[in-house]
Amino acid sequence: MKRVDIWSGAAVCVLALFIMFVVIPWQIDDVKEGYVAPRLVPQISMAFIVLLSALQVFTAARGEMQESATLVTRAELAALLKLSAIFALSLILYLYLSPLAAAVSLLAGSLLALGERRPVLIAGITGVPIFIVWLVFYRLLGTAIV
Amino acid sequence: MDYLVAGFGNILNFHTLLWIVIGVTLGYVVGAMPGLGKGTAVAVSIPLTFYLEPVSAIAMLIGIAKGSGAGSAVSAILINTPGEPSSAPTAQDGYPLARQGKAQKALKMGLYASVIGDFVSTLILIGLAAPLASYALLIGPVELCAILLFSLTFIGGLSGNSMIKGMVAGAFGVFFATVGIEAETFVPRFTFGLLELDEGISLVPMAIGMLAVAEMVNQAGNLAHLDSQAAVMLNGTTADDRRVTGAEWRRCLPVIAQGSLIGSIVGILPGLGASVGSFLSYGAAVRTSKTPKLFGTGMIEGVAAAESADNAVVPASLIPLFALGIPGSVIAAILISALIMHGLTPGPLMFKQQPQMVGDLYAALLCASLVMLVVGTLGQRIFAKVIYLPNRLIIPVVLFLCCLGAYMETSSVFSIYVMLFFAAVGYLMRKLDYSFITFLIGFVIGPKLELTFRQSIQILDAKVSNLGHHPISIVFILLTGITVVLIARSHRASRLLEASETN
Repeated sequence: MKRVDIWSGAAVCVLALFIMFVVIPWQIDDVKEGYVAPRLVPQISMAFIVLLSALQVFTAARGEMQESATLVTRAELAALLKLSAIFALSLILYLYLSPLAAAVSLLAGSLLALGERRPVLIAGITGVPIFIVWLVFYRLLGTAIV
Repeated sequence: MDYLVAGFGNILNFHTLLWIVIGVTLGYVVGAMPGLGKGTAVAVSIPLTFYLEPVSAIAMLIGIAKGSGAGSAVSAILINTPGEPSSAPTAQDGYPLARQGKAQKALKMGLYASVIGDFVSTLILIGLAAPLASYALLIGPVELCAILLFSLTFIGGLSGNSMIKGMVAGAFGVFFATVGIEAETFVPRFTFGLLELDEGISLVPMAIGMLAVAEMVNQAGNLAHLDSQAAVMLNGTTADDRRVTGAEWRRCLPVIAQGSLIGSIVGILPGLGASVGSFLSYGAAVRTSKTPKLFGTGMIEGVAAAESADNAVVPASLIPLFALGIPGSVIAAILISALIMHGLTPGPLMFKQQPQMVGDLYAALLCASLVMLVVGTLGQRIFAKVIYLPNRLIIPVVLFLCCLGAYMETSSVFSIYVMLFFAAVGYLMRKLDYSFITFLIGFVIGPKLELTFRQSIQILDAKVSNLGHHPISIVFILLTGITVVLIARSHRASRLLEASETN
């Protein structure tokens, strides 16, 4: 995984430089006289990360890094994409329809995406948690999810 | 002591005991599921405690942490897949025992060793935290800043396989802690015009995203492997194989005592974690055994050694949290937000300002140990069946609970965005082997580190030479440097050893 360590170190280094020179000046105003600069700790953190990630790239290039990082397999990538799509759909349903539709989409959608095909199980695993949440929040506590 | 006795009076009622039982049971079940660790369980459960009394809420969370520590042995023994990495040494002998048809024996010894280790460590916590805290009150901002820096370096160096990546993760944690309005100048930082970020990023959705959602996505990509592990379990047992005999108790008790002590010491040191404790204890048991070559083939002492140390780490890791306000583990880091939410600020002052609350907490910790024994004994067979549930049925429910937990923190969908953002960050960190534990601890201690750093600059008049007036801080700065060198050397040595073994 030497190559992964080199690339991840380089990416983190570039990200830290971008934050240090673009995001920090853009997002944190200059300090008034007599105060410790509010940019100080973020800048120190980023400078530290730049140094360390450069060191990571250097040691990985010299072959000193331990082989530790794992690559994403096809199955993992597929699962990541499916679950991301289900979260996106659930958020859209939450914002434009209702929390109930979002909950059904999240539970039933991820069951289907992970390979469950038995209708009774899908209905049960979708219905029971939603019913419990409705019972606890809407009935017992009176704090509706809106 | 008076506060502890009064604490028992406060918690020995149906309501509080019920929440402890619920917490331990939930923790036990979650711990038994491979990949769902105590960090995940506690993070997801924090929002569920919003409506509880402070003592019941904290007792429930501690019950979850303790229960999942014991429960993780179930999957290690039955399917050779530890519920948490710290139970990996348990599988070394637990799984061979299960394959020999002695699963019940191994599960029982795992439970008893867990309870004893946990109880001993809780007593050490009660005995050590308050005296340490009285010394901590003498520490000023300059010293505290040096101690925090040392802790973060130590944790970063020891979490994961690479010291550099650990320290990068810790620095990112500190960086994300600076989001929000700065306390001294009231200048907003990294808020991007979003009012929701004015108070900073909330720990609960962040922890849920990094620990639970990222892990579920990771598991969703490995469903076939996890389910196939559960399918190969054997089930044949005789009557004698289901209990721990007197002779086995005599062999295991010294190992449990040794493991409890090792786990407690490891727990006190920030950053080492339960895995280090259980592996050290297992190694010590092998070294002190008369039959070291039999370890790995189904020695009950192996299960006792690993589980006693694994569970002793949890209460002991609360010692630096209670005495100094420094979270030494991911559980301690997550518990900070729960404690603060319920009115108890961890640190040396809590012993002076809220002694009764501390007494209640100690009583709850001791009760949770005993509840763990009862719940484990009564429910072990049932909990063991949890591991046969296919992960494709568990993952959707956990994801649903994650969304619910994140939402409840602020009653806003923004928390779910935060959760999803940090789930992506956590997933990448897992894949690229950056320690998300160090990230979370860096995030938790970040505000205190920044505050003491700013105070130090003012106290020292921005002159390094003034550090001479603060010898304790010099000691910790030197220790930080020494730690970096020593850890770097040990990582290098282990890499060379691995390379020579490969060749």
